[in-house]
Amino acid sequence: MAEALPDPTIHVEQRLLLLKAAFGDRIGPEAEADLRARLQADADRAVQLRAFPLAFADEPDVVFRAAPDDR
Amino acid sequence: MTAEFAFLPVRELARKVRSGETRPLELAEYFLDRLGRLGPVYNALVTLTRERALREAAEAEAELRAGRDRGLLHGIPYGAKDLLAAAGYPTTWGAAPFREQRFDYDATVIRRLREAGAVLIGKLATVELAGGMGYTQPNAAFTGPGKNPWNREFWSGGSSNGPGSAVAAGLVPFALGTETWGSIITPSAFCGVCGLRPTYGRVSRFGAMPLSWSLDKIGPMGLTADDCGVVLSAIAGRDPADPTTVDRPFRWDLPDRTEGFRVGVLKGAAENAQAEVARNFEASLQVLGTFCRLEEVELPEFPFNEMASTILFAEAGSIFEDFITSGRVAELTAPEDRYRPYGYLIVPARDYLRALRLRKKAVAALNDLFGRYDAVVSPSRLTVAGRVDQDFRTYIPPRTAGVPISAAENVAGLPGISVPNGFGQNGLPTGIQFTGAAFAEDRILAVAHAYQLRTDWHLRHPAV
Repeated sequence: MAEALPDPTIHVEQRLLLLKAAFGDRIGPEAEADLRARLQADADRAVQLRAFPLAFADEPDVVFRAAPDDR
Repeated sequence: MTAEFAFLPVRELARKVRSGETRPLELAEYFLDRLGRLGPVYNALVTLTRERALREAAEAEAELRAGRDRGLLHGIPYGAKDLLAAAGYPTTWGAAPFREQRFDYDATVIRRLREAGAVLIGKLATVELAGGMGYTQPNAAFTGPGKNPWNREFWSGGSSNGPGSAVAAGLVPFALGTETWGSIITPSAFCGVCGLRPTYGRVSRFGAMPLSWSLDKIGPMGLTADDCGVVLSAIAGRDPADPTTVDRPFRWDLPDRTEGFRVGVLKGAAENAQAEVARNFEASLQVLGTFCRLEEVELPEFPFNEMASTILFAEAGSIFEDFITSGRVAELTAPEDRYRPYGYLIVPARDYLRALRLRKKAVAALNDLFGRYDAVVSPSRLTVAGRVDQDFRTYIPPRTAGVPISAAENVAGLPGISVPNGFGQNGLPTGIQFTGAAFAEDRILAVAHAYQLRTDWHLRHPAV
């Protein structure tokens, strides 16, 4: 089932605040505007990713190994 | 020097070595001189590996004299993108903060080429950190913007700009590039050379800078599809140091079959292309139609661009987390590279995992589609190169604008080769890409080689 997300723009401002709190002294006004646009694009991507249905059983193609190959 | 070895394909150089027309040391001296003199003109050279080259060439020569022949690459000089570790020399990753970085071992691909008798003559320029920090214009490396040998006022493409320029200008017979998302295909198309992106897992990445461990690939760039096949034969194969590599032997020989291929033409692939790119692609289809059965194919519906971006940002954010949080990104050349990576640090885990879950389904769908064809063709890039001082956003269509073949093939780890197919605006080269199913490099190489038997774009070289 496709997953519903809250309004992605909420995430954008929250994430920007998070970045400014952590690295604000390194992010000038021009960089902030560009980062906001990038975070908006991230949020839009998140919506697009959820437009394609996945089943519970659809696992990522990564294999956990309980022991290294050479054991 | 009176001999002229520039722009000769590997088999011709190999023939000259064996016939006694030249020797490995003469070839090394010739290309060291050429790369050292002209490499800086194109901002293509980081480090000339003179001592190592002369040592390797002397060894190659002595072995041939002793009757030991390691194959076609024995005594052939080459350059490597400076993301690849080579013992004894800096490995800068194109980034000012790593200018003094050294490794005391060779990347597996460098070691394998040494074992094949090839001679490393230089470390070639790359966009800083393989372009992974979000650069939006060509001046994004301490070596300066890559300049195109066809016209130095234009970019050579990224991120393997050094290999692209060096091969195009005849400064090296072949080179190694890397691709996470477009970094072999783009400079190959922009510079008018051939570039092969192998299947993910075909070539060991040990000793290469990681940008995105599930997207990074290493591949050859050369004058012909045949050259790319020869080099891939030497570097492919399982490597215990890279657990993603697979035990599928690859050997490229000139194929007997040069017609009767089944080729898919990607629907809508030339939409949004510059008129000259579309025209050249159409002309290529006319040529392909004389020896292939052409069928229109359509990419399956997946959010390929969104998957590729999410995976790349999440993995790069993890790999470079310490570099980003320490603030050392501020030492990078491109202003945008100094802050854009902060966004990588907060990609939600559930977005990344969702992209990976979708990827598994996409891989199955793409291999099912591409496996029906010897190759699927599309324009390598929708435009020719822009100016060296031009923002990409002013001339390259956004990734969301066209058919997302570049994202699809990289997300799925599929092989592709770009070969030149004409010229566009400002006299700059255009390319056509042949993409295949996983581990079908032999099939795409065969079609590309057959195309080059019937065209002469790869025989045209810039005046340098």
